Amino acid sequence: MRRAHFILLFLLAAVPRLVGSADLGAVAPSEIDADAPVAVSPPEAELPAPRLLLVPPEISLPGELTDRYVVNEKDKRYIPPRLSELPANAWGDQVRYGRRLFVDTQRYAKHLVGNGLNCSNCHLGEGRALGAAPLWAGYPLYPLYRGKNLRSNTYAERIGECFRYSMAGMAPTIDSPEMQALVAYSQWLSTSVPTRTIMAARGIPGANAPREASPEHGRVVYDSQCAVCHGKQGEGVRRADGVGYQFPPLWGNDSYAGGAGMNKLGTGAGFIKANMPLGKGGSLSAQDAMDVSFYLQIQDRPWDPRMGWFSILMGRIADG
Amino acid sequence: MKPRYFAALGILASVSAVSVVLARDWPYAQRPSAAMALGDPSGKLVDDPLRRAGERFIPPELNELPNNDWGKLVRLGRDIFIDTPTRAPKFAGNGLNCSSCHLGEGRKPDAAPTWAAWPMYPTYRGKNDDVNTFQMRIQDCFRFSMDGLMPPLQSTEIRAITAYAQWLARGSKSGQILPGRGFTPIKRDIEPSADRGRVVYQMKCALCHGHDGEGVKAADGKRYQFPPVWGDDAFNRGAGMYTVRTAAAWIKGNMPLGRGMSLPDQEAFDVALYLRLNDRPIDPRKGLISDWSRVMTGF
Repeated sequence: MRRAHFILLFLLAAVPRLVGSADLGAVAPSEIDADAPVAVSPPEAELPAPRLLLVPPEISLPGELTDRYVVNEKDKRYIPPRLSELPANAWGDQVRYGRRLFVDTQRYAKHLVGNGLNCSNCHLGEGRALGAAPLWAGYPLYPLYRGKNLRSNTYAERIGECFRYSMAGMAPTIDSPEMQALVAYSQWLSTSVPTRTIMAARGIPGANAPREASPEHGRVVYDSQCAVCHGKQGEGVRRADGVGYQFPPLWGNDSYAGGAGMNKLGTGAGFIKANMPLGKGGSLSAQDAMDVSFYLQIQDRPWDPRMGWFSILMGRIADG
Repeated sequence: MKPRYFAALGILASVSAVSVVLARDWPYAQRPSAAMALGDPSGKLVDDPLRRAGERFIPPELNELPNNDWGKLVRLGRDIFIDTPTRAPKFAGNGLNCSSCHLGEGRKPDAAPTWAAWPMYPTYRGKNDDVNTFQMRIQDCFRFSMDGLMPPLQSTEIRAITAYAQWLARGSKSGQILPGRGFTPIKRDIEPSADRGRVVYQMKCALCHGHDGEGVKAADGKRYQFPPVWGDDAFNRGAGMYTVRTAAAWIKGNMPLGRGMSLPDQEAFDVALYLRLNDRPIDPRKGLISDWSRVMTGF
């Protein structure tokens, strides 16, 4: 293949970017104004108006996983140990280091992270929160078969995938201090969780939308509910000290990569429904969450590292 | 041959016989009957408040494993665990299996069962003054107890053994010290004697492990039916079993096979010291000279 062909391909790949990466009827995201009336297609016109008021959250988190063996009884929650309970020895230092890595990845493991996220941007509450893939529900299950790579993964391999996809970076080696500290932190959070037991709050709960997801409605919900923290352009809000973000970016170069689980429609919708807006988890309906998830999915973000530039380029061309 | 030589030989033989009889009699003074174990094992463990009589963790059965990718990984881990030189020939350096020390396929309490170890890792270990993950601990077993090479952390062997240990620990709580973890408690202030240890060994251990600690080969001539306890095919000088107190605790809890807790602490210590003084592969952390000097000085 000669150089001219490469140039031609790159020009072809640039066409959709010029038009606008999100296919919103050729409206670039920068031109979107939330206050302006939004022209929606007829099916979405039947949807209720985006709710701007606080509604009581739907307390549906534990109930959605009842088809599995549930350890936590109703109205009972597993409570991970407190940080103040850690002893002042080498193991405690290791766990504390793991926590610092987890909540401030930008400062402590910047060389491994390709974007602006911390681990705790998805695993909310320092990896403790229900419905946000808490570490104490994940760690006791590994090694575990995962459909994502069609093999049984150890916990360290799973952490490596988080770095590779969600953080658009490089997986730390299994014997690296970062990996050991993160494993130690997870194991400490899982204190007294039974091994190989599926906890009720494991992973990210599902969100069953009654209708097909609509990015137009997703944009409406995003601008009204999410943009105040995450920004109209999904750019997030930087921290005052400039290291990382106060509110994480949702698309763009500093956001999660295309191979992240959060980039899957159902996973993203489940996370949004259970946790977003922050502190008001469960206030969005499943349909709203699915629409927002779709809206996020069609934005521009780092490439899926499993794919080469050629397939990504072809995909972009095929997507128009 | 002149008669006085016969007389000298006779005197020599009688002296040695008397000494053997005296040495044989010595350990029996410790307790009334050699055949009877010292009471209920679980009843002797009251010094650990977490050990309560009659409470034992029960790992899952092998036939509970599903026949999927994860189940195959666990089965592979079990195969490596109980048949290490054959299944992990790249990394095993001697004739031992993992299950030579972790008895009962890693299930037996007081023989460092993997189901009790898994929930405790990552943990601090004084041996390398660091916080180790479970995988690193397995590497140490390969390096010292199996006198081999450390499998890489991402190797199939480590992943399979990790999966096996985690499956055995199903239901055990993370960070919880389970009854039967590690080895059985044993006294600290015991002065071991290698001479008594040799006698105890020849009486009670040599039947299976051989008079020269060479073990007994299986029918196929490659694997060991009973593992060697010294010599080239045994654990090296860096293994935990080379530490007298560790070995004594293991011996007390598990040996003779099927009659664990039948040896008094003193005899377990004696045998452990006797094993330590025999020849075995060097400590891989040390060079030949420093290890040899340690052997010459005794410790």
